[in-house]
Amino acid sequence: MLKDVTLGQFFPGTSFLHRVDPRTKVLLSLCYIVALFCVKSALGMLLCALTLVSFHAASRIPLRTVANGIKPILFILIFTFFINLFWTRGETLLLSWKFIRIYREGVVNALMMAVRILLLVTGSSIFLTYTTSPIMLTDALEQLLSPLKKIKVPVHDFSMMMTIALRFIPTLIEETDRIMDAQRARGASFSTGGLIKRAKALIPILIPLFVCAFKRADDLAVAMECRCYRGGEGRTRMTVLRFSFADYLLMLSGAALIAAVILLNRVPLGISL
Amino acid sequence: MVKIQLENVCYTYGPGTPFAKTALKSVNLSIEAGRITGIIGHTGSGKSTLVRMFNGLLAPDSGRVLLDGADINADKKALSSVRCRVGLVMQYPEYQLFDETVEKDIAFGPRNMGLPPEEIAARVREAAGFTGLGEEILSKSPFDLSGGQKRRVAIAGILAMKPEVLVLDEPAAGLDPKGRREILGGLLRYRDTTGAAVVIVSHNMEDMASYADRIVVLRKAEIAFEGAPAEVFARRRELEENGLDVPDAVRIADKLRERGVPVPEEICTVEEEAVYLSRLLALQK
Repeated sequence: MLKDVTLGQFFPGTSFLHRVDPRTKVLLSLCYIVALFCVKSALGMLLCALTLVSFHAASRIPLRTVANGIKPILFILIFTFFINLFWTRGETLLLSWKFIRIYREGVVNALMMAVRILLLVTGSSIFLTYTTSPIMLTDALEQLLSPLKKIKVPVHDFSMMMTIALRFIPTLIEETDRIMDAQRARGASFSTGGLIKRAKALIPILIPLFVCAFKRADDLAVAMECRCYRGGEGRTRMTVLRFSFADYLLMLSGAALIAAVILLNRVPLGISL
Repeated sequence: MVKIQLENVCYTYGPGTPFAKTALKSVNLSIEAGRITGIIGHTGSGKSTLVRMFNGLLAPDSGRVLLDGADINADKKALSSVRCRVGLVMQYPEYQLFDETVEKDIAFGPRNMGLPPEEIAARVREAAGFTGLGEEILSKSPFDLSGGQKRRVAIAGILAMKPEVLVLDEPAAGLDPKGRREILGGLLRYRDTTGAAVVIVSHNMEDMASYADRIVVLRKAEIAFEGAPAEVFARRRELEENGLDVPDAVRIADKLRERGVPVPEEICTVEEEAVYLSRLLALQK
């Protein structure tokens, strides 16, 4: 079923990481991503991995969930690994067989790249999607981007659109499941026949789905107007985000991570690139 | 004659995740041909899951669903023919309409069954007749109809497949009293003409009292008890503990009994009660 998508899913909880200000989490994950791309030494990579492990512990997300989140990127991971392995030219030849040449630099490069992607995906899901509800996330983005309002970027409208879109993804998935069940009950089949037949079989799903989506959008617009929604101008918030001491500390540690990684790049440890 | 038999059917949504939820816990149930079985239960008691078991939209985690004695989940390829024999009308079925005209939409099911065009046209007219749709509506777009008419079109879409078992999830929810009576009356006529087994899930106890031959009460993924309407509604306290109601007629009868009027327990519809009381009054005079 469509419900089984786990990547990008929010896991409700009350752990330390769940309670941190979403803006801090956005900034922290930015720092983490920058650090990951600055890494040029194994030691730096180890530091990033350790950061991830400690934050994972602070998030109380089951390890299995995180592991399941890796599945969709497994192909990309393996693909980049082998591309880097075979196509990096270096000085020390390790293996040469027919047209395949594997250099020591290639192995290091491939490993670094694979670990980097792995840390990137798991890290950003632990920092952001698993521990931050979509509403909090768009709230944080709106506030972080609010300086752009000065140059007439409709930040509030964008964030409202994003909130609504995120809010309705599960609803639409549920709706699709229901319509598919209803049409299956009328003898429709979605998994037999050639390409054209299958594409045609989608019509009885798509039309009701669109009709429903438009109706929903209409209802929502009316409901919002009934509650006097007039856009972001002069709108106050129910939960006002305030940075605490812990937030500043976390942001500082994010900056420290980048600095440490850059410093470690300069430490000659044999396996640096 | 037993048409569908459920043996120890269990089902859990999202097993092994923090969101796991048991929807059915070893349910045993038999649905008989030519009778109307009502299923009642509080929201979340497993009604919609149970309904999806009957035509194989969901397969039980353990246990079997037998149609005429054969396990429907034994051969996944045969499921589409099972779905033609067990017609399922889902909740708010008007949202599944999609074709240009009402006629084409009703014909969707029979077309999927691969029937010849003349047969399809005949079945569409017959099904439209059961649900009280006139000839003039058949050529209209389903999106131009009122809510009640859309509901009838959707139900006709299933009836046109001439299922031997007809399962309906809240077929009359959100309709006015006249619409309810017409739709439920149409189902009764379909049962009488074809001898099909009919299963109706509903929250409306009045409808259940007047139309069902047997009522099954679901509670927390299990069958709490079952029986004829009068038997079920006699257990008023248990029903109320499950967040369910009894028909007004039963409540009135209870009050009358408290005051010494000997209303028999079998009475659970307003009509029967009115007949009984008017006879009683005539006797007293």
